[in-house]
Amino acid sequence: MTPFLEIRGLYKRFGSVQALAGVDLDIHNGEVLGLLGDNGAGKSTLIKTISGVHKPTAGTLRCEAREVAISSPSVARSLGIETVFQDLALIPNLDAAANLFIGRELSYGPFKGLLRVMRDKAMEDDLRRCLERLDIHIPSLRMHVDGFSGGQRQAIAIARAIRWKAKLVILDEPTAALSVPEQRKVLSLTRQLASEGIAVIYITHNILDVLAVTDRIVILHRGRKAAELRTKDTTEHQIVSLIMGGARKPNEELKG
Amino acid sequence: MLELANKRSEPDVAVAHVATTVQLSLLERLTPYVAYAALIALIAFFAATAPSLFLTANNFEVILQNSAVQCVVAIGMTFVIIIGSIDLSVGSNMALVGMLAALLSTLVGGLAFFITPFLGALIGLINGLLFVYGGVPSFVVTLGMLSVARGLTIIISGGFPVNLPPTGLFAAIGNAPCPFLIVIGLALAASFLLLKTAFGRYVLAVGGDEEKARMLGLPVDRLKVAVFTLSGALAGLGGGILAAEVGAGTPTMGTGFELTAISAVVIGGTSLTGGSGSILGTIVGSLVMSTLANGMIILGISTNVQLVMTGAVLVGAVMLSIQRGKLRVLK
Repeated sequence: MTPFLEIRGLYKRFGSVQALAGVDLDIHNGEVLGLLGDNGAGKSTLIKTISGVHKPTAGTLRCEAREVAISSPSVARSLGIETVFQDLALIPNLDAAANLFIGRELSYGPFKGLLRVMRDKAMEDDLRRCLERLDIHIPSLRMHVDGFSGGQRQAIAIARAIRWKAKLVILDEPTAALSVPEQRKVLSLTRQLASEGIAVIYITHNILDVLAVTDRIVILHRGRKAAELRTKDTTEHQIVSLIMGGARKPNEELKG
Repeated sequence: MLELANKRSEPDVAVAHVATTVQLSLLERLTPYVAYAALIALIAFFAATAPSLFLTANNFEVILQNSAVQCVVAIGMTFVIIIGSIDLSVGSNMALVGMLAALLSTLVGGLAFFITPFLGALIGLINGLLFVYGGVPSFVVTLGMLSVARGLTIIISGGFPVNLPPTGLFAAIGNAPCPFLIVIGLALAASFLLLKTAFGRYVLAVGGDEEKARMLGLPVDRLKVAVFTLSGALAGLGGGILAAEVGAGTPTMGTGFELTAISAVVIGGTSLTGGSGSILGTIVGSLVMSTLANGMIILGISTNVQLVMTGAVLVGAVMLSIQRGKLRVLK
């Protein structure tokens, strides 16, 4: 099967800092890929490059077998790549439907631009279908999202990502700052995305989450891929030691 | 792996955060009604103390007439305050545009009225461009414009009033019910703009969290320029109507109007920290200000005391309504 996204020889340099030093990665539909690494390992840079925030210094990206240049977040979105950033990018003083559609509001007629008239009812109906499909419960359709719990906000941010027919959803530390039941909800949502054929990149520091939710694990160390493992063939201990000492493995030091 | 432990302890923080925001939004939900309560209380008070003078149809017409220009300007100010900015230049904008219209009317007559929103919009556009692309805080830009526009008004008029034609369009616009009808039309249009268009939603979004609005790809810069242009346009229109009511463009026209407009908006429940507000609230807030002024005149209180009251009401309203949770520091 052709991967949804093929990353080959990806380099990213910020001034004198080599944030990514030749990363190869395949991302498959219907698979949850865990992306791990210590702070500064290049996780953020990698997902920001995929989601169009950063431009790579070198390397190629192929999306569904076509070579692409993801030059902006809107290009990423048009390819079906949606990112749920750690701070969620929800507008606190708007309700769930407004957040689901922010910047892409349904409107009457063919009009574009700021003066287009929004179809509030249609957007609310759409939100309701979305919540039903993902089995998400929120306190009220009218309530501003700053009244939601952390898990409810996370769920709305994930719903927004897949509302737009995402083929790849990137989740950046989705369970940080959530209560335990809410963490479970997010993990089951993640599995559901994969079961619907969506590719998921799951970034986390939480080893237990990784073991619970991912199919495959990639560990970054100093901008390089230190290891790639099948989740079912690995242990907590093995992952921890790879994260801590990825580059100390002699055979990895020679690469890149 | 220390990090793992830290992450696990974070839910407590999240819970605390949710608790504060819910508390704030309760207060937030109450603020819009303060204006209605204040209006009813004021009417009841003046009706009790001076029934024969206050409780007449004629007097209510005076109140509405007096609040009309204030409403027009405050509607524009509402959008500015919702994005979390401030426009201090509206009073001087009114004077400059009113004066230019009066001068122009000597050439083209009543048609000069129609140019007032465009002249005002130009002043607002300059404010917006300096604010957004010049990187100067809005209160500094508009404070500068307050002085610049007032100075220009005095320069072009030589310090003297310029009379408008006593008949024709200006005379019609200056008399009831015209200003009142303009307010109704504008209030409906502005409410529609705020509640039903993408523009209004983005205005709320920028006021709520500008950084996230930017991350989401909303046209934040263009939006801010548009909001200041709108405020300028409505101030200019207000200046045209005020000149029509007075029958002349005068160099001191609109002095202190920024204060009454901001007061009307804040009393109407629009938060000075941005992100929430309503046009209807602003109209009611404006009626509160003009009822207060009218009642004090009826009770024979000097206009100087009214100045004291206006300032006190503004500070009091902000004290009651400001969302302190949203301000990390107060400067």
